[in-house]
Amino acid sequence: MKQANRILALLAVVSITIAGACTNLTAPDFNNPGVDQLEGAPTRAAVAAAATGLLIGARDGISEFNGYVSHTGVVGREAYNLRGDDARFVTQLLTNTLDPGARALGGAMWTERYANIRSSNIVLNALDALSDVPPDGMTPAEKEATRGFAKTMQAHDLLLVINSRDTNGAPIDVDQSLDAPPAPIASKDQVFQRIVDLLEDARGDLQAGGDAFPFPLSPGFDGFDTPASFLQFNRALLARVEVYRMNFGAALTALGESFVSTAAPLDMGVYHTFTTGSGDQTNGLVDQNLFVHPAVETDAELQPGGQPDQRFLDKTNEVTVRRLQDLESDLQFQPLWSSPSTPVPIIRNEELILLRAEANIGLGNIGPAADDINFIRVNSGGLDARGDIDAGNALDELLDQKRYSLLFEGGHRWIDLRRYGRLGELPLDRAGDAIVEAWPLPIAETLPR
Amino acid sequence: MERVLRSHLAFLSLLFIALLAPANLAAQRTISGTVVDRDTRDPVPFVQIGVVGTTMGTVAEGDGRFVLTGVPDGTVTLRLQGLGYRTLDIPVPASQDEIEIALTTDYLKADEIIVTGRATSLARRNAANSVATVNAAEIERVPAQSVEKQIQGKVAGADIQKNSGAPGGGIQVNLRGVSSINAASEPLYVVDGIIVSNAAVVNNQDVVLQSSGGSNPSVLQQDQVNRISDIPPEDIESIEILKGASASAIYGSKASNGVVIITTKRGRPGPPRVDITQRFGVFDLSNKLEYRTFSNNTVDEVVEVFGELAREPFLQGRFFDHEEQLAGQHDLSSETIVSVSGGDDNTTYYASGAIKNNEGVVINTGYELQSMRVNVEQQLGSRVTVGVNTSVIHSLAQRGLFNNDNFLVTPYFALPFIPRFFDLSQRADGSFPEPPFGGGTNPLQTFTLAENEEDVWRILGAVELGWDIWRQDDDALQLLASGGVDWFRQKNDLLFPPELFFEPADGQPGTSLVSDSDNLNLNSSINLVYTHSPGSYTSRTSGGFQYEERDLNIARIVAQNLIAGEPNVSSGTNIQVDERRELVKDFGFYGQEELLMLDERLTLTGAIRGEQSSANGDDEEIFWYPKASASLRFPEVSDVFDEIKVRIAYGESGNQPLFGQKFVTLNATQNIAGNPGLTVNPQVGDPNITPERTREIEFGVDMNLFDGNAVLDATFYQQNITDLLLERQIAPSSGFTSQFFNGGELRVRGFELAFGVTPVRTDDVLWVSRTLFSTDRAEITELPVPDFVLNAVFGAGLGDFQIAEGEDPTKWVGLVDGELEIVGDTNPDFKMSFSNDVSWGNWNFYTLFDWAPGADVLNLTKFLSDLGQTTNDFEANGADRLAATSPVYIEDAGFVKLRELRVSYEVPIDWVQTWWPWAQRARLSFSGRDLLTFTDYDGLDPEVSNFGNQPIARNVDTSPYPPSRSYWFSVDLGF
Repeated sequence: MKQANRILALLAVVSITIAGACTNLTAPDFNNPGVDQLEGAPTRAAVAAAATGLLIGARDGISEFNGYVSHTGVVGREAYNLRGDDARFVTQLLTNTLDPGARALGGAMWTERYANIRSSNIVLNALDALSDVPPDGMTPAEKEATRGFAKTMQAHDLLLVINSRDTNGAPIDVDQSLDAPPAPIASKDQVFQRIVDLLEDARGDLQAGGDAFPFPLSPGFDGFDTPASFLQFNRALLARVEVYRMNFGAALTALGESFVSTAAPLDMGVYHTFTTGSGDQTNGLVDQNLFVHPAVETDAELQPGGQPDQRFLDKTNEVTVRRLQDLESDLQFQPLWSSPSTPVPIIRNEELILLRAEANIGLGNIGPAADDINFIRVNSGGLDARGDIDAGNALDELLDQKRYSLLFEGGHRWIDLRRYGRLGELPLDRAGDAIVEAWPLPIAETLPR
Repeated sequence: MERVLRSHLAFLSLLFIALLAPANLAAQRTISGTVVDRDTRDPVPFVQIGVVGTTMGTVAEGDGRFVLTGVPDGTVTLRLQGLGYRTLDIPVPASQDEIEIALTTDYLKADEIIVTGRATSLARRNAANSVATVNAAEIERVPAQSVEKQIQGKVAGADIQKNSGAPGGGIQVNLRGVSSINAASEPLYVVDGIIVSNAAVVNNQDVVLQSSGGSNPSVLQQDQVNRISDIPPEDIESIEILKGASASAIYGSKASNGVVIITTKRGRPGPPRVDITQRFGVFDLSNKLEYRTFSNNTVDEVVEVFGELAREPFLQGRFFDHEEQLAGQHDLSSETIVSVSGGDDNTTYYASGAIKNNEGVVINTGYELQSMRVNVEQQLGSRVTVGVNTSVIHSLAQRGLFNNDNFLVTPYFALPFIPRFFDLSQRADGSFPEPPFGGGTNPLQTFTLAENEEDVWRILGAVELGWDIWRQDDDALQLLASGGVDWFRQKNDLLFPPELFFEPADGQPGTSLVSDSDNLNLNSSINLVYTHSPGSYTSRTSGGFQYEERDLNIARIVAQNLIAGEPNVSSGTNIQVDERRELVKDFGFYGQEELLMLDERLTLTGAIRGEQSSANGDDEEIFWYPKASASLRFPEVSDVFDEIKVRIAYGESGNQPLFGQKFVTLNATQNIAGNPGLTVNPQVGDPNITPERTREIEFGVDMNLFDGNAVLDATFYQQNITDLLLERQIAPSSGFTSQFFNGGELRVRGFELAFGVTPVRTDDVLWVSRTLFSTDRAEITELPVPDFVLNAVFGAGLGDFQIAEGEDPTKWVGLVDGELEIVGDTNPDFKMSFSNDVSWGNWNFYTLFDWAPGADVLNLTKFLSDLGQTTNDFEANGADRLAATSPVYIEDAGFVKLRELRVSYEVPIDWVQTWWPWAQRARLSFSGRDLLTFTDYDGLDPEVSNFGNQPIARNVDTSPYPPSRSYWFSVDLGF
């Protein structure tokens, strides 16, 4: 009896141990949907949300204090980033000693762009898998419209990548598995060619895209939010790329299909939208540490009334002087970036007019170029029209106008001077300062290679 | 969960009906007696008295009397085990039925009972692991806000450091060196048998300070508190620490960082005992940076640094101590703790209440706590015991605004750019001067006007059931079941009124933040223990299962651009809302066998645990964690050696993936002008992720020397941690930045020594001295990916960590002339502590010193003052540091600290009774914590961590809350 009890007791202990293994422990991610939901079994709603998401991804890394507008503006001597907490913004950026390992500096302007390129590729792949029949799928026309949109956005992201990396090149064949070795680095020319190819592909898609996009665009695309009008934006981007490639004839052709117009407002165009809504993003260029480079004031031409260039007056304001590491400025961009919901231009009419002038200068058509330049001088700068523009000074004048028209809104000064080999014209403030010609590839990109 | 429990209970009940066997018939004789203290001859109550070789036993009454019935005929050996006394084996001849037994106080803790399984415990002298304990007496000496502070310097092998000087917790506990790279680094905390949350939820100050917007996107830069600090140390009876996998295997995949088992106080049978402690104290800033005064400089030199606007204030010739103005508070702090305990043979109870108000050294900071605890134990008949432990805790922490910051708001970001001749003080009209330097912020204004409150309610409740199912001479079967709830709600209210000089910076003056986080931990377990002791050996077989659920939900509202500065979040024009929820479910089961043989000289243990968790890639896969250990005692070896024990233990345990490391997700929390959009998430999870696995082997020797006057424990261990949770850096051109995966191996080797001695033990004087020593070294022995920099700090130029095969991951690396080199270490060369407790008559003197040489800290606070050209040695060295092409801000931060000091006096009781007749005990004491620090470190405090609790990236000094020392005067009364 006793022995039997002992065995039973032991058995009880053993069985309680084994009795356990039968519980359902499923605990899903309550915070976000899985990627496989989009790539494996896409729905119209998910693809539409991912398409709109490309606008969210596109503005990521643009307006932050260490984002595209700020960094390219600082190296182009349009602005200072006077951060007492982190002097690297006045050392590395102004002495051409970018640390490719620091994500906020030498490693900046890369990750956000490629994240959005991945997003656009996910959209393109999901479109292939999506049914053709609404309400769960999209009609062939809707799919074409979405493809044209995604390719144009991808071209824009690649353009910003090559703008910062220039001759260092950048990978383009990145639509591959995570387990594959990193995509090879393509040359600057190859990247430009890819951008042009994407924009041309997108053109065909958009033309077959029917009357409307099957997803909402942001208010920054007001007026360019149907496949047909979005194509004008696509052409505007192409015009910029062709000017950058010095294909001035192609640039003029593209401009002809864009929204360039001296009859329209100069700020007509396409913008990154920022709002203060929950889940939305605000414009980070409203930053107390961003100051105007003093040369912007001293170089400003005077209006007939004696006051400086209207664009300088409209975009900057005087504040208490800030000093950091032998740099000093008492001007900020508060009127330009006035509120957390001020949009940031992607491309706008004023740039297109100046691109047209630039293409005409490149083709030797000084007359039409001078007309466009003077249009900007008078209407944007409040300056007198110049009657003495000729082949010898047209480019100088154009670059001056681009400097003030596109002041601190996307690194135009730096990119333009670099294209013409004129970075040496930028002012150096301190002994030891030097101009960044191109951002290095981030360490995170080069290490796994 | 209920469903699971119900089905198991039904199954078990069926089984037990068959087991309820007839009672036994073999009673022979009765032994009765009294237990007394050897020194005082006072009776000792509640001593466990057992007959060796049987399961027979009893407990001494309140007057020390006991009666054992049914003792076998012939000579038997009684074993007496009393809390705080040495265990004694005493033979009782067949002829003797009445006996007086004297027990010796266990000053050196050689004979404690320690937990070795989920439902079983063992005398320390039989244990095969080095298990450290800290008991109530050690906790009560010097008050501390958080329980981890009470273990600091008291456990060999524990590296415990506070992350800042802020009131109310935020302390990291690292047992036996580094044990992970990306997963949790904190031990598992178990309070009264339930696993409690030690989550650290950030307060969201980051929204204003933008600390994650710079070079390091970590959100853990907000001086967050890990929530174990809610447990009031005064309620704790003992803390037991299982340091490594060989001891903690039975806790499975949450145990590779060790387990801290906290037991709260219980009542004892007897008349009600009331204890009141009243303390008054003060906190005192213990270190300042003493920024450069410019008193040797000309006005032009000053203008060169600060600009033209510095000329006029400099010429006024006044100097201000901004640090003292901000952190020189000496408000009176107080603590009141009352407890009542008692009971009878069937019911015991312990109830306590505490009210604490600790004032911080920085203006408008401090820590308040109110708590209540009731522990009741009830016997139901002779076989069933039910215990209920509950407590309610409320705390309010005001920790100011510290740590990394991108807006020059936190004090040590702001002050370096404000010259000391500029007056920051509040003007008569209530306004503050706006400094025309640096970021234009005034820390005195910030700390006067801004609010940052962390309000926490926490409820802990546990029910324990013990059922003696079957007991016969040699056999006993017990059921132990428990269920518990740990719930907390943490509410963070932060208000930054529009008047703050930094508030208009983002164009949206005024910010109000509300975060509401709640966490629910549910625990349940059922265990069976079968003891069989036929005389020649004792076998204890146990088995059981546990279910645990952790559900954390964080909801936050950020309101900016406050209308008329109204604090209500609904008055903001820019309102952001986000929510995060983390749910983890774990299920585990185990079987364990303990064998005590050769007259309890040889102890063998074997166990295996299986565990499933929803945190793993496959939530159905069972991970197995075995353990085996042996210890052998050699009693009475020689005159010097009372006893020598050799022990060896092997065990495996795990470290779960963090929530979300298994998911590959799209980000669905963003919109653009109200249009929803999905974007890719840069971090990619691994759908096959598994826990890290630690295999530990530990061996050691324990010695009792000189007739119980000295003990020496020496332990060597080696941990091999495989399947490390690594974060692979992916080329960002893929669209992703990193991916979690399992791989690689880390090896940690260490040595621990604990030496306790009573150099003087006379009738008048008792001196107890303890010395602890530990050291450990880690090395990555295998890495399946190329070496990588952890990117855990602010770039390799300043200093970072490298994961490289053959290297120690805790070493600082940095760019020295462009090449990555080892430049320091976060792990001290060794840790050593010395505690001395001398009682002389009614007086008691106690000190605890803590020594940790060789660790290095990245002193970014000094980097900031160099940028401001205001470091006190700037003129001599500042320019060189700024121009250096190596990480010069990594500084040696070895230290010796006087952690605890107490002088106490037991007031003669008859003297007290002349005017308060009910008094039983009265004590006056003066105590102090962190009174002295000896260090070469130039920063505020060598104990610092900008990123909170971290396995690797510790020791980063970025504008922390300054350190303070505390002085307390206490009165303890008992009646």
